[in-house]
Amino acid sequence: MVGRKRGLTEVGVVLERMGMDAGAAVVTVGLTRRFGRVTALGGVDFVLPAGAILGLLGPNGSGKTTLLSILAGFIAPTAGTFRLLGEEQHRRALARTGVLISRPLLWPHLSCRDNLRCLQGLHTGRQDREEVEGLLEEVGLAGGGASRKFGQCSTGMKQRVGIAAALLGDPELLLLDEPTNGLDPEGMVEVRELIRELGRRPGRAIIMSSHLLNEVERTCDYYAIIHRGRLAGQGRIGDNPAGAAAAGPAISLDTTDNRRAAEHLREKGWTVTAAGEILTVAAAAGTEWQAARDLAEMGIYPRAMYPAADAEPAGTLEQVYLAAVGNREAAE
Amino acid sequence: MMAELVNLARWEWFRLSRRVGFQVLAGLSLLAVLMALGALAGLYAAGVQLEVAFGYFDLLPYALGGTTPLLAIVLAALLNAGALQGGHIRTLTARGTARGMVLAAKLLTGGLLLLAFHLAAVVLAGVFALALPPGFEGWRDGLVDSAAAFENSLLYLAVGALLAHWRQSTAVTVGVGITLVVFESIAYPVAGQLGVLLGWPVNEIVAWTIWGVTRGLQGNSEGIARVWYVGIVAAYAGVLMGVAYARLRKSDLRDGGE
Repeated sequence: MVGRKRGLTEVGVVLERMGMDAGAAVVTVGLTRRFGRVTALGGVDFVLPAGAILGLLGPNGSGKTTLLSILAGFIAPTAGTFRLLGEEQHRRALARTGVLISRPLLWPHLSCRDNLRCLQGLHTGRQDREEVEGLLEEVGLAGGGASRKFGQCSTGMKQRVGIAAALLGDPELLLLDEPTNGLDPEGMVEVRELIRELGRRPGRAIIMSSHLLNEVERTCDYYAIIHRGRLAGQGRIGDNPAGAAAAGPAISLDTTDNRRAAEHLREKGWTVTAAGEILTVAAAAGTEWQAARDLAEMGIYPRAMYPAADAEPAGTLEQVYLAAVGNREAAE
Repeated sequence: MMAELVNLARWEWFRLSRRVGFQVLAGLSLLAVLMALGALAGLYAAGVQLEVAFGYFDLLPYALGGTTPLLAIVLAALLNAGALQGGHIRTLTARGTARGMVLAAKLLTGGLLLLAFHLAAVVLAGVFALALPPGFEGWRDGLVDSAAAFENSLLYLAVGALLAHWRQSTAVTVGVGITLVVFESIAYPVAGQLGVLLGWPVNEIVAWTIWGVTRGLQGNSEGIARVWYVGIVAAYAGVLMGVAYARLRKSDLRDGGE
């Protein structure tokens, strides 16, 4: 990992370039994690504005859980740095962050209610019966279900208790790893609605990983695609006139070496189309600088860079996803 | 910081006290002490003078010395290895609670439980002591030996914590820990006898085992004054806990299903 001071300076530089304030919910710069020879995460940069819901997409084993585990402090990055909720101290940010990663890790011999009471006492040092009962109701576990031992609950019930646990203390940032895992279709709809509802709280940001495209499409404001540990695409959902997700606005680029630029941008996970002397790059608002930065790494500089006025929407999220994953596979 | 530690320890107790495994363990441990005291009562009933029985057979410290190291190892496994193996350590640290604080709370909870167990045993023994003739002084040695047994159990608690953080497995912690307790409890007296028979200082080597330094605390060492053993035992505990913390600090926190 880069030195703490240097890392935070890098985060500051990134935010300044993007014209964002330091209160962005999540900023990562070159986040990397290796397990022996395997690179689970290979230099991921992204920024999540405060109050937004980001869907983290990617095939199984692509690095989604590793990324969330680093943000939650469960594992340390091998390189790179990150900042949550504008806090320079990770631990202070985590105090304002709710986490549900992989599966709810609660105590099987305690009832669902006692698990929440215990976590509330542990993390806040206080006992607020109303909050616990309110959360149980919010996740649909008021009544008899709350008294059942956690170990005896169905997968769906456990997932609901896990979400309730993540919501204790009204956190400003939620890190949810496949939160609808194990739920029946009805439960999936309920949890999706719950997440959307949670995202309406002013200033609350949510990162939700999933390998279900329609889930992200229906729940999130932004998406990021991770493939083989690298960011293969990102954008804003909902800009497509057809109602399906689009890759976000595109930019047109003319560079000092368009052929190499296209190759390099595709390697970096951008969706690039070449038409004559102009490259069109799908880029979410505010992320254009990243394309330019990626090119500068290779000594390629934009001669012209402007919004692609008549850019076609990149298509549904499924098309964007397949293109992003396909681009990377082609590059590799 | 202290308030946070006490709060964490309080909720450790909340969870532990509701575990059937812990309730059975506490019951069995208390049963061992009650059996020792029952044997004492039996001797008295059989006509053995109580002061002789209490002083010579040294039953209470013997029962504590035999029981509490095992209790400490199993407690360490329940508190530490269980959380690491099952992934609950993630839940404990998810809101920014320092890993060192979580470890300290677990050790504090285990230490307080061992203290409560020793106090309960001593109080039970005190009931017998009330029946002793005035002027009987044997209880002093009994109390000192019981205190040494408590320190001994604290060391084994630290050993258990280290084993738990080393392998992150309840079975390994209990298995290796109990093997160590049994080995030390046999090795110490055997080495003493061998030292005498062979004229070779085997007993000086085992004097530095956990069992050995606790015996030194009881005043059974010839070379070093008892008071020094307080520092030696504290140093042992500090090193064991320090290594356990270093291990925890560097580890990836697994989710238990990986």
